[in-house]
Amino acid sequence: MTTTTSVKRAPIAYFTEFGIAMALFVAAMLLRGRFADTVSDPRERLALLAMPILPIWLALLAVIRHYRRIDEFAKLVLVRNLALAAGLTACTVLSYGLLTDAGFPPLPVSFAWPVMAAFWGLSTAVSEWRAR
Amino acid sequence: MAPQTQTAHHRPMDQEARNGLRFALEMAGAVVLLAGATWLRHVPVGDPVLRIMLQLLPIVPVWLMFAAGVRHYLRLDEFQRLQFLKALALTMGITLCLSWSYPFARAVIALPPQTPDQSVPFSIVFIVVTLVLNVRQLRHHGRA
Repeated sequence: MTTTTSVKRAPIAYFTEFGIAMALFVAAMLLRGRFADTVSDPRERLALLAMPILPIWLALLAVIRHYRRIDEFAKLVLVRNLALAAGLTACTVLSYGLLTDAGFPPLPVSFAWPVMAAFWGLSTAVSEWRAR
Repeated sequence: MAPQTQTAHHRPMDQEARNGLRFALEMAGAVVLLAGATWLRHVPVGDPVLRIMLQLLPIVPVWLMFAAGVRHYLRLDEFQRLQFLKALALTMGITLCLSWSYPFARAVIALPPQTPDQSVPFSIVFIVVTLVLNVRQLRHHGRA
């Protein structure tokens, strides 16, 4: 496969790999919820409880593999949007932590990740719009 | 006229070092302000409006830190920008996965409860990632 073809197919490969990781995560969560209390063997139970960890890291691997497949400009745009989302999320989460002292309801740690996804989407949309 | 020689004392600071120093100073200023604002939060105040304002005061230095990071980015050249962004993006990805995996790992191993403040793991991962990327870059230059 030529480099150009590889670059063109990068989004398809990314969505496939990321989709598989997410599907595995959902399956692991379902299995965990269903069989965690019924499995008697401690080793099997341990493996079942820790199972969702693997697809989480597979998702990161999918992003890294996607990064390696795309061209230089797309790489720059991807890391710029991710880094911007990271900075904005960090500041938003820290600021919200201070707002809870002023009476706002406390939120779990996991709330940060949808916020980051939203910032990532927003920064990607803005950079796409600016590129046009 | 004898040619002018530059000694270590008179040599002008190069742009890279100046950028690094500026970033360190701006970040240190924001950290000092954050420490001051956090200290002010514990000062007993009667007026409820003033009390809420004092509670929210540390938000300003938090965003000043972000501004310091953006200003540093804007001062860097293209290659340094890519390295800086790559380190930040990779750190975010690893921290996200660590934080997401933690509750599952905690169900298996006796780990302490997860703290809402993720700034410590983020900082540790950022230092490690930057170190690894720089070492890889140096090795790459050594081979070239």
